[in-house]
Amino acid sequence: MAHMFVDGESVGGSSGKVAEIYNPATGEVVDSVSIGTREDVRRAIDSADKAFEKWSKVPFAKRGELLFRTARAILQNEEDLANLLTLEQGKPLREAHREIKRFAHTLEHYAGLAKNVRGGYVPLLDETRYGMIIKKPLGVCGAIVPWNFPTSLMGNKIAPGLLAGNTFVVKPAGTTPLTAIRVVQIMHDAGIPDGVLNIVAGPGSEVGREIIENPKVRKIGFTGATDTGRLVMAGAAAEIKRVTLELGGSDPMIVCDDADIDRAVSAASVGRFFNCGQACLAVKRLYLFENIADEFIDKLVTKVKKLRVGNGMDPKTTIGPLHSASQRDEVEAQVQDAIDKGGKALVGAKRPTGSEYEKGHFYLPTLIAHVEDNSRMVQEEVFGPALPIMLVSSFDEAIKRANNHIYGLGSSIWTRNVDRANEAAYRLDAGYTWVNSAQIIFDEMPFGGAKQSGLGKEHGSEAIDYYMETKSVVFGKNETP
Amino acid sequence: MAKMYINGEWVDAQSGVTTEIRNPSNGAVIDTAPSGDARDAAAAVESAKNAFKAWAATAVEERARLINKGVALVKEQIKDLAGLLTKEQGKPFMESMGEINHFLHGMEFYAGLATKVRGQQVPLPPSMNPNSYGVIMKQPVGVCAGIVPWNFPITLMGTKVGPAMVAGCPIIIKPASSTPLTTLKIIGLLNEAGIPPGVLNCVVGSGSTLGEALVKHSDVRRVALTGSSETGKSVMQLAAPYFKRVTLELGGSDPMIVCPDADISKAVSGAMIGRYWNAGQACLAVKRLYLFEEIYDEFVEKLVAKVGRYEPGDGMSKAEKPFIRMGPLHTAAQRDEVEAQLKDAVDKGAEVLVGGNRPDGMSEGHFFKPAVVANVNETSKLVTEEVFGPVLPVFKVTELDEAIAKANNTEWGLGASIWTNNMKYANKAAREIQSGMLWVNQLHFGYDEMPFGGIKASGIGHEHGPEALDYYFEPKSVVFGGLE
Repeated sequence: MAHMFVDGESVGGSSGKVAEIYNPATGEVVDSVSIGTREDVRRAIDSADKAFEKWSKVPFAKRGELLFRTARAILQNEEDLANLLTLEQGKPLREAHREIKRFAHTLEHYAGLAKNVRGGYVPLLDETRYGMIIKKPLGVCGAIVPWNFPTSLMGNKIAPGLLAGNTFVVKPAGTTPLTAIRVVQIMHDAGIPDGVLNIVAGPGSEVGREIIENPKVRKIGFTGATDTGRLVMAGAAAEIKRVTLELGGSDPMIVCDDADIDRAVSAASVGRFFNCGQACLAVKRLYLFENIADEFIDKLVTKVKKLRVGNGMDPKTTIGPLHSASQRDEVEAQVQDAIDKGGKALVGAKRPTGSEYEKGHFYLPTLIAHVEDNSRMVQEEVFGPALPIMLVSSFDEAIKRANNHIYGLGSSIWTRNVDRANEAAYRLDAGYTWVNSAQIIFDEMPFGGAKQSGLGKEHGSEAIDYYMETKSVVFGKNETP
Repeated sequence: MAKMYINGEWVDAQSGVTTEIRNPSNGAVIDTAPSGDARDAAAAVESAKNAFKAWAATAVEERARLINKGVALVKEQIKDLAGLLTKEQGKPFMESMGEINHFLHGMEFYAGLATKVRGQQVPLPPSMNPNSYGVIMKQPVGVCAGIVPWNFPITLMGTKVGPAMVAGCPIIIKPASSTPLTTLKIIGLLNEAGIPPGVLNCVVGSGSTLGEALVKHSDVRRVALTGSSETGKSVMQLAAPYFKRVTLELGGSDPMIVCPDADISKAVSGAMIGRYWNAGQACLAVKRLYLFEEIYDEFVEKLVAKVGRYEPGDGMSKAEKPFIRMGPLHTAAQRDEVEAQLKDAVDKGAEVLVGGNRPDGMSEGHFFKPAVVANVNETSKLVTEEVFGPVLPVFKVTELDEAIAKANNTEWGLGASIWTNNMKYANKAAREIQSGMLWVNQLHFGYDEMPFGGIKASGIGHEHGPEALDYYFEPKSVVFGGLE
C-alpha cells in the first residue's frame, strides 16, 4: 500500500481513508493509496514552509548536484517505475519508459542550469547610484498534476522549482498517484532533504482546495483541464498567488500541397495516437490541402490500421486503453456526434472486440473525414484516439480555420515553402508552432498556451523565471570612501 | 466639458451621463467628465481590436517615432497640463511638473527600447529531427486595458501605455473617475502625433460598471492594474475565466531602516520625501520607520523639525520659505481613513510628535497636517493597514535582525530601504527583506530603468524596466525541422 510522503516520511492519512488504484487495461487492483485530508495537506505545507528556510540557502551548485543525483537514481529504477506507470496509467510500456526517461532528462536539464542563473546590473542616472536585479525563490509551491503524464508533468514543475530554491507539495491525480509517490521517495533517498518535496494523494475538493487556499503556498503550477484552471486562478487571486496554468488544447496540423507527405503522415499518427490520444499537446484537427488529401488519407489509414491496441504490458502493444471509462464515453460521444453531422469513419470508431479487451477501456484508433466545423470533435478538445480530417483549398483558409478556436496550445505546418512556413509561424495563434516536425516538446524551448490554453511557461530556461521573483535593489552612495 | 477618446474621436458617454470633477483644495467644480458604462467599454474594445492587426504590423521604428512626437507635443504644454493636474488631483504644482516629466521620461525610455526587442534562437537536440532548430518569437499579446488610480494619474498611465504601444498592442486606459481630465488631454496629444485610431483609447467611468466591463470583456487579453489590493484580487478573479494576462501593482507598507552608521541628514530627507510626497498618497512610500536606538533621538528630532515645516495649502500657490507646500488629501473619505488610523494608534498609547490635525480655517479642502507618531503599538492600524496619507509611525530597534523581522511582519512586500554604510547590513537587507524593491541609502523612487513590482499581497508582475515589455508580449516557440 502506498502512502503520502510528508517531511521525509511515508505516512498514512489522518482520516485512515484508502483508495484502490485500478489497471485501466484489466480492471484489476494495482495497489491502494492513503487519501489525504486538508489537515494532511496543511501538515505537508507546514513542513515545506519549514524546509524552505534551509533549502533556499543551499547554494545553486549544490542544488544542481542534488538534482543530477536524483536523475541518476530515477534512471536506476527506470524498469520498476515504467512498469508501475503502465499498470496504473495504461500506456504501453515503451511509452512509460520514455516518460520516465523524459522526467530524468528534465531534472538534468535544470540541474545543468544551476550555475548559470543570473541577475542584472543597471547603470542608473549618475555615478552615485546603481541598480541590481536579484532573483529569489518564491517559497512553498503547489504542483497539481494530471493523470495523462503523471511523472513528466510533475517534473516540469519540481525540476525548475526545486533548482530555484522552492519547496513543494505535489498533488497527483486521484487515479495515478503510485509512480509519482515512488518517484518522490526515490528523490528523497537520493538526497532531497526532508520537507523539501512532499506528496499528498486525495481529491481536488480536499487536497487541491487546501493547496489553492493556504496562504503559505505562494505559487501553483497546474496542468489540467481548462475549467479547473479557471478555478485555480480565481482561487489564487484571494492571496495574489503566482500561477502557471497548462490547460487544454486542440492543435491544428496543416499539410500543404508541397509537403513531404510520408513524414507528415507519420507525424500525424504519432501526434494524435501517442498516449492513446490523451495529451494536451496533440494533433487534434487535421487540415489537408485538397489536392494532396486523397494520397495523404490513404497513407494515414494504412498506417493507423497497423497500430496495435492492447494491454500496455504486452511489448507488441502500440496503443493502450483509455485511462477511464468516462474518458472513453466522452470520446465515443464526440465521434458519434461527428458521424451524426455527416462525418465519415475511415477507420476505427468503435471498441475492439475479443476477450482480452472486455475488462479494459479500449477504443480503436479512429479517423473521421468530412467533419463539419460545428461538430464536437472540432469545437471541443478530443482527449482520446480520434482525429477529424478537414479539407482546405488555400493557405489562408487553413490558417483561419486553424485559429478559429478557444484554444491556442500547439500547432504545426508541413510545407517546403519558406513564405508559407514563416507566415504560419507568425499567424497561428498558439504558444508553439512546429514546421515540418512532429509535435515534440523540447526541454530547451518554453512551452505554454495562448488564449484559453493557459498562462505562463514550462520548459526552457524561461521556466526558472516562473519559480523566482526578482527584486530590484538600488545602491546610493554615502560618501567618498 | 471633457469627452472620452475612442477610435480617434472625442465622444460623450452613450448614456449621456456626466459627473463633476472637483478641486480637492476648495471643492470648486473644474469641469465635467463623461460617466461611461459597459457600452462605452465595448466600443473602445471594438476599436482597439480593429486597430490591432495594423498596429502590430507597423514598423517598430515608426511606433517609436509616433511616441516621441507625442512626447514633444506634451512637453510644449507641460505647464498647463501640470496646472490642470494640480487642480484635479490636489498635489503641489512642482510635484505635478515632476510627475509629467517622469511620465515623459518613461515614454522616451520605451520609445528607445522599441528597436531593441530580441527573441532567441535555440539549437535543439538531433534525436528526433536532425538539423532542427527553435526560434522564440515575441508577439504582441493583443488588446490591453490599463486601469489607473488617482494618486499618480499620469505616470501610472504611462507605465502601461509606453510598453503596450512599443510591443504593438492597442490599449484602453481607464483613469480614476475623480482624475480623468489631465489624462484625457495627454491621450489626445499623444494621438495628435498620428497614432492610428483605436490604438490608444481612454474611457471614463466608475470601476464597478465601466472598469468591470473592461476587465471582463472577452476581447481584452491583458489587464494592467494599479490600485488597492482588494481591487487587485477582484481583477484577478474576473480575469480567470479567460486566463487573461494580468499585472497587479497594489498596496504597500514600505519599511525604512536607519542604522547607527547612516548619514542621518540624508536619511531624514529620504524619510521626509519618502513619506510626505504627494501628501503620502503613494503605493511606494515610507510607511513604517525603524530607527536604531543609538540614533533614534537625533533622527526623530530632525525629522519632526522638518515635517513641521510643511504647510498645507492649495497646490497652485507656493509656500514662503522655509515652509514647504503640501496639497490636500484627494478626497474627504481618504482623510477620514487616515484620521481613523491615527486615532486608533493614539487610543492604543501612541504619541503624536507633530501634526495630525486639520489646519484651522481651511475647511473647504481636505487638508491635514502631516504627522510623526511615536510609541506606536504593533497592533495599531498604522502598522497593520496601509496608510495612504501623511502619517508616519516611528519605531526603535536594537539590532538588524529585529528590524528586518519587524519590517517583514506585514502582508505587503512592495518597497523597503536601509540606510547604512556597513556592507554586511546592506547585503543582509538586500537578501532578507521581503519586498520587490530595496533602496540602500536612497529615497524610494520608481526608476524607469529598474523593474518595479511587489511580492506577497503587493502584486504580480512588473512595470518599468525592459522587463515591463515582456508582459506585453507572448513568447511563441517555433521549431523548424526537416532541414536535411
